[in-house]
Amino acid sequence: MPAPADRDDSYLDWFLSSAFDAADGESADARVSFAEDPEEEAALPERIGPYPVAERLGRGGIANVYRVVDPELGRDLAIKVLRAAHLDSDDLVRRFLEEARICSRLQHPGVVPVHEMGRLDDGRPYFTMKIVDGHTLARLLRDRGDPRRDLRRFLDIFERVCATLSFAHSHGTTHGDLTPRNVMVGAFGEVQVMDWGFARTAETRARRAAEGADAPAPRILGTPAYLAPEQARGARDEVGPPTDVFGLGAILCEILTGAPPYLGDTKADLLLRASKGWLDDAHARLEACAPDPELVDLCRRCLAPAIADRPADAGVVAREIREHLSSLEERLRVVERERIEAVAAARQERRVRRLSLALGAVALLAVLVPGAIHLRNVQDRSARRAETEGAIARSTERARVLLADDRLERTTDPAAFAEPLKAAREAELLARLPTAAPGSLAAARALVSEILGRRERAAEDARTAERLRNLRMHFTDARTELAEGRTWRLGADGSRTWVEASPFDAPSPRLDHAMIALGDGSILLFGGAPTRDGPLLNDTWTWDGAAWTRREPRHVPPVRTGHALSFDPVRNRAVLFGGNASPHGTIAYHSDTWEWDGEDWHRIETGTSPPRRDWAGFAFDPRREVSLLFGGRDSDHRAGDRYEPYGDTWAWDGADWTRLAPTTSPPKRHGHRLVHDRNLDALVLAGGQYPGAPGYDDTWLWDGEDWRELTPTASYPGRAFFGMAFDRARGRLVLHGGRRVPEAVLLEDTWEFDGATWARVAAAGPAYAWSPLAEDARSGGLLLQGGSTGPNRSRNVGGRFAEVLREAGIDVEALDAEAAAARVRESTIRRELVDALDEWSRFENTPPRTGSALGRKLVLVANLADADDWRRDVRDALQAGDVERLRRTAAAADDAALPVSSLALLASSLAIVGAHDEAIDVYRRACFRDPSDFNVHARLADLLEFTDPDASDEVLRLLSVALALQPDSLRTLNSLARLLSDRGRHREATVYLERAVAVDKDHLGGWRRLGRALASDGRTDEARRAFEEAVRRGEWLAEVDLALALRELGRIDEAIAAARHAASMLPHPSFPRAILGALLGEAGRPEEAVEVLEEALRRDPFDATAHLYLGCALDDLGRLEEARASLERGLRLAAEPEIQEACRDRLEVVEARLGERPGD
Amino acid sequence: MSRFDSTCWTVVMGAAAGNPADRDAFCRQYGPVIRAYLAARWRIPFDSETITDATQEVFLQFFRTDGAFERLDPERSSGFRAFLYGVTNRTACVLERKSARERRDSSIPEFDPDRVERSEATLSAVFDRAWAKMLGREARGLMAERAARSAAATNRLRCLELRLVRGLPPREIAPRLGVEVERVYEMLGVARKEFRAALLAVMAGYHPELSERELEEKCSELAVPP
Repeated sequence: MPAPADRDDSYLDWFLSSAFDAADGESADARVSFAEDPEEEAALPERIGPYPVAERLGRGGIANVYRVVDPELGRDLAIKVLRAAHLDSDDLVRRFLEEARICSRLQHPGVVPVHEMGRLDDGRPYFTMKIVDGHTLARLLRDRGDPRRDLRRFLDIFERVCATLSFAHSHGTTHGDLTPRNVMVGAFGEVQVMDWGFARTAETRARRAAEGADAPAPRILGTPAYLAPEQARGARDEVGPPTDVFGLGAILCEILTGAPPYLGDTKADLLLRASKGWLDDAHARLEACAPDPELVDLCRRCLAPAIADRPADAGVVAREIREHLSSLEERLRVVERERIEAVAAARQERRVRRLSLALGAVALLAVLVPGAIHLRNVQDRSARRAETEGAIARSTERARVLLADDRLERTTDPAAFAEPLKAAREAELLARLPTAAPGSLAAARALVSEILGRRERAAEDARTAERLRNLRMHFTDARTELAEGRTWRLGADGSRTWVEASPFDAPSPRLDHAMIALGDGSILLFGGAPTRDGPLLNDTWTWDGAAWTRREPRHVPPVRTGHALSFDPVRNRAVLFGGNASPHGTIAYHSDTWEWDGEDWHRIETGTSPPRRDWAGFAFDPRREVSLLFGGRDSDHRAGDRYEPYGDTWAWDGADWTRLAPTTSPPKRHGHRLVHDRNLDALVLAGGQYPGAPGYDDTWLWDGEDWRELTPTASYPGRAFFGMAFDRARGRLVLHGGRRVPEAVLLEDTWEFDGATWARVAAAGPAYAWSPLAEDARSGGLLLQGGSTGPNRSRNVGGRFAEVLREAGIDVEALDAEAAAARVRESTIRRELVDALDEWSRFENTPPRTGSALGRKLVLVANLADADDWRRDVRDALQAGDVERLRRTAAAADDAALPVSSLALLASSLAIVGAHDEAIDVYRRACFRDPSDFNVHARLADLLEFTDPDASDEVLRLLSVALALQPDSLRTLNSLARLLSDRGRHREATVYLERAVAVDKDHLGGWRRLGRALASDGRTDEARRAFEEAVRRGEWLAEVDLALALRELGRIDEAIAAARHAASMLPHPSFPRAILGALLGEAGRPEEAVEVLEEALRRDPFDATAHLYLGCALDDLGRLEEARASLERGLRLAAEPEIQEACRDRLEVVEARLGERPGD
Repeated sequence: MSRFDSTCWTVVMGAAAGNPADRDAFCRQYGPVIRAYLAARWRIPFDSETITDATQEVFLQFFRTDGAFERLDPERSSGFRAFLYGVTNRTACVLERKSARERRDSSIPEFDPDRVERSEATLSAVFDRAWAKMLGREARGLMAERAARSAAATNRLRCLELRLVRGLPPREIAPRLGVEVERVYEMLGVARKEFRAALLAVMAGYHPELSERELEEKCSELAVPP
């Protein structure tokens, strides 16, 4: 037989657990392993440090506890020692030490005091505590048997546990593992909460937040049958006082029903139930045991799965249980009193009877004292009744007086109703006495019900207010613009109305794309992106008057947004120039020129080219028979230290670009439109923006030679990123939608220009920005396709606000304004509701003079409901577009007297009307007024970023503050990361980006941004993993990044596979193939590289990078003449200096080799 | 004579021969295994009437004339476990087919053909799990029978039960048994060894041809978590 040490008998644990399972279920997992660790199997130590050991008391999760004797004082102590097996775990050691520190800091009778802390010779930490002789609450409950026994005693114990936790919470400490096993009840009834090993304080939270990505993976800590849902999910950041409230509810559940909230056969089962908050069984048990509805209600509230639905902390629970116990005492006293009175009454009856009997024999005596005894009895009863009624009236009066307190009218704290409820319950109890008048009980019960109803409403209001606060914080985040995919037509029937004409098959939703009417009456559409954060598109569609068709050209321009498209009727070609090559936040623009011949795209090799840019105005000038380009933006284009758009004019003649030199030019701008106005037979330029300034509302004309500004009688409201086209049928230049800048206010108005004035088209159209307009010659009217409905999808945004308000009984959309306002006024959370209405209206885009009907209604409701004259005045001024009035209000505002939400309202109103400096000033004052308001910090950061490029330091600071206030704000995390990356602080950027994907692992572009930051920080392998995540989510651009990362890691074969896959998925013809060719060349496979690169160049002969890599591969193959030709071409075509330099360097090598050839 | 003094085949053969006591033992021993399998296969509660009826049906297959017992061969190397599995599986299939044919008067009232577990690997694992638990129970029974011969062994078993069934820590067990807490640890250690011996003895009843090490390996295989 093998020696015991050689034998592996670990299977025994399972069989033992299974064999000795009382439930005969699959409970092996829930059992403690019988195989104790060697440390415990060892004999009891004689001493631990200086302390002689008396006995082993117990075994916790990571430590052993012994009874020892203090050699100096001779008293018994408990000593807790970390087990040796855990000494290598920094996390467990830290946890052990924190438990000691927490216990020593919490000086409360309910927390076992710690005397001393130290380290043993072997390095194990220990601490000594007062020894608690008694039993655990778990043991007492088990021994109790019937849950109805000794209920009062256990409720007393529970109340003291609550009091202890209330103290801990008030000192910023959460226990984290409240169970009956962790409550000790001493021999003299003292109650102590034990085992603070899972406790969290503000310091531990801060440390974990700082650990960020380096933090150990979340573990589920706690006892499964008692875990709050957030604990069971491992969401450590959500653990706080409400988690302990759940634990208290679990203990109360066990006190009332005899079992914890979750029952299951296995640990896995318990954890599943806990993570889902499946409490139906617990609720059923509570209802069945039902000792008192108030206790059941308290228990259910504590066990609410949603954190927000639980009492906020143990203090609330302590108050309620104390109130219940004191009313219980009162009831007991009343019962006792009733009993005494009943006994006394019975004695009195017996005396009367005896007397009657005695007197009965001498009937005359009764005649002598006619009815005296009876009268005395009646008088006694009347006196008692009067006394009872008096007591009832006094209690009722006290309740009513307390209820009438103004503070209760506006409170959302259910605990505020404790005193009136107590008084009402007293009246109810008194009304149950036999001496109470009939009808008293019903009246008293009605009063109790009324108070309970008001308390419930207060709690509901508190929950609504919390939801609204969370919504408001959330909406400051949701700024990524999403595109629509609908097709709209204006005036197809000759009317001036917009009609949706979305066909079945249409281009996918996109914004920032380009459209142009072609000579044959069709419309060409190219590129764009589904969101402001990408990914970019480069598909081609044509509209034939009724339907969209996706085209499959052989050649395709690279992906882009904000590109300029014009149609040259002389050469019958559409011309495309420039655009933005990367999603929002990165800088890469095109400066290439392409032409569409009706079937295919062709890149035109040009001698000169305008500098790269997006959002330029581009239109065909029939007088010069050129396509004219004006302005546009390249974020890298600086005038001194400031970024500024272009104000240059260029002409494309079909072969090359020429910069023109007009004597006058419109102010520099981008986001404007340039369209040929047939009435004027000239190009008309409108709108656009310059950083820091509101949108332009001017009108310029290009007459073939020069620019001049027109002075229309009336103008359109300033804007950028709108659509504009000429409607031949109506003979009008039409513009629609766009954005008021820099505030993300969407416009839905349509304006016509007749050559002399702009006039608004009466019917409101769809609110869109980033959407072009094109004439639909085949069906008539103008076509609008796709675009963005704003920084937040108004339907979703509005829907969420509407839902919360509807659940609070205020259906703004269904009710008329006055009715909705009345409900807001009646609510205890009127201020929160008005703030929500302001926020909602802001996102429904309500600029002055224009705005959606719902948005206007929201402002009206807010004004009717808001008793605050100051805020009403601000709203009125905004509606009227009265900038001066708003400025005066800002100058005169007393910040200290105004709530920060009022200052925020003023600031956003100033920004909407374009008074940015004043808006910034008021936001700054609001930040000073309330440094803890996320909204104002985030808004100020936004505004500064848009308007003041030199304010990046302040923007960084503001975003950091905003993030500290709202750690899961995606936009803030991404903005911070972007700013840090711009400054070369890639490592810090990755911390924020990692947190962003942790908040929402599916948010668009998140993983790719993270990958790029990691790659910039030199962490290529982590970058690879991030790119893989992005690719898994369909961000195919990341596949090229992945290929490059794999290459950096030396995993060339995998890099080639990724690049090959990207080439097959990406519609762009040459970019991924060029990368693939380069990788193949590096892998020593030049023949394949040549094949791939030649294919890439067949699709795009002007790809300088492909020429470079082809040259290298040909050189590797010894095909030197071809290599030279390819490299020379690459050098000629390359715009980037690094490509040029690479071409030059390799060319030198090739030429040197050619020179060495014999015969050369 | 204890039933544990013979191999399991004695019980099986006795049940096959119609011995009422052996049939009772047979049903008691293997009933939970069959129930667990059927409950997993049909995804209905373990203790439902449907399972009870179906389990009875399996037993009927064994006990009836020309039933499964007639085909039983203790010499087969696959052992009784495989045989029981086969009979249970076949019975389940028959019941399912019958139920599908007679929808209205379904043999299996709660049976939903779309929910039947089809994965052989899963069902086999469930069966093995239940089989293993049966072995553990038998081992406990054998241990109890042996412990009855000695007070010390009885105390050790009691100690084990207090520890595993009641979940008491040694310091709470000690006063109940009237011993020092260090003694509790010793008792638990010895009880563990005794349980092991009983388990191996039960295992050997099904696999008389295996060595002790091989029996332990078999136990380890069965104790692997699903």
